[in-house]
Amino acid sequence: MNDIELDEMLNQWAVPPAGAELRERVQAGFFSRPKRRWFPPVGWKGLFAGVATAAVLFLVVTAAAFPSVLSSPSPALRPPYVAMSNVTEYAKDGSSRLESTVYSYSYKGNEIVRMEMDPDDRIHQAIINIHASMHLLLLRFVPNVVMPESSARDAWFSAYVKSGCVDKGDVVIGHEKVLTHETTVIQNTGMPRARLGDGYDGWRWTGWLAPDLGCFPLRTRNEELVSGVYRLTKERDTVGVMARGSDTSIYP
Amino acid sequence: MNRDEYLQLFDEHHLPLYRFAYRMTGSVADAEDIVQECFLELLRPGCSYDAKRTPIRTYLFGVVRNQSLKRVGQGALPVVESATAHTPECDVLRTELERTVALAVTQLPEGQKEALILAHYEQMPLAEIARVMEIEVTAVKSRLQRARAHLKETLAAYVAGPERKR
Repeated sequence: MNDIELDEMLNQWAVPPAGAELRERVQAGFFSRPKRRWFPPVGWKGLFAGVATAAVLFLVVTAAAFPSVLSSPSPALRPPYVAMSNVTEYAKDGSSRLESTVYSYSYKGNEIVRMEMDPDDRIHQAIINIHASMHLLLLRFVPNVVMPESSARDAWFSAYVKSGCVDKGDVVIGHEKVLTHETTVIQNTGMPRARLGDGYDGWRWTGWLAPDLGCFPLRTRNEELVSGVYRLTKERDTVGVMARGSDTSIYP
Repeated sequence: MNRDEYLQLFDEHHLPLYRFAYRMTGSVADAEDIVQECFLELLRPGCSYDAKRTPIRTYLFGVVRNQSLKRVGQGALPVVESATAHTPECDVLRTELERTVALAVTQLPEGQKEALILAHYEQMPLAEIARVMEIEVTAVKSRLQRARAHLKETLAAYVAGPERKR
């Protein structure tokens, strides 16, 4: 067989026509084409790394731009005690679940959360971990930004503790001893904020505040007023107070 | 690239690409899928096509080649569909010859098959074949010669048959 004969034989192999819809398929592909991603997809780990990097960058830039802002760690990071409290949530049908366990303390009227654990919700756990870490990081590096110290604040806090943790407008309904600590029982009521979907007519908050713990709430009750009756929605009970005993200077 | 430019590109190139894909895989459905994939590749955000370095035709043939090799590698040997088999009045001998040629070509070793299809059926210059196959021009020549020699042997009996009958 010579080359011409081979070419003639090869030419016997024809190709069936392509389907008429091929052009439409390709055209449809144009409209549903993937859009350019300017950033690679990130998972939870990537998101966490991004947030952490941004926080560090923020601190570095802040330190460089405002040297006076960056100061020594806040005294709020030296707790004399840590209280362990259980937060229980109540549904409308009366059922309850342990929402979280909180390790915290009070510093000049603010509650500082060192750790919070939600055993049933990993996403909530991740969010509170990030939030608590960021807050502690900011207190460590830029305390004047997140919790500025001032003599006016010290004076208010001193008076607040001396009054037995009663602030302006608070209603005292009694005194009780909780976990060996004397407490003042405060009860405040109010109306819901004007927004859709609240579904209740008012709220009531009751707190058992211990002056010797910087007015830390050893017990709280949150209630909603529905049809003239208060329904318990959330309660928090401190089950133990662990003394750290290092610094009591934050108390008057 | 807007829609009109994209469709113009399709209209200009899809037929030779489809023929190449069909002859590589032996399947109309696979060939259509490959051509579709080939044009979608151009829209992919990370598309590697660089107009300054490679002519679009060469790039598209390269994509079709890779896709075809992937499909042929995944499945069994291609079953060749005849272009004329469904016509009632077609010549039985012609159909048989077509199948024989198709089988002989598709059973060539991959490198030889690609070189032969591009050179003979698509009339592609050797230099361009070399770029599509990512090999040297001398290697293309060598594979082409071996493919033709192989086919001459395989198909010789078919040519000799009628002559012997005479």
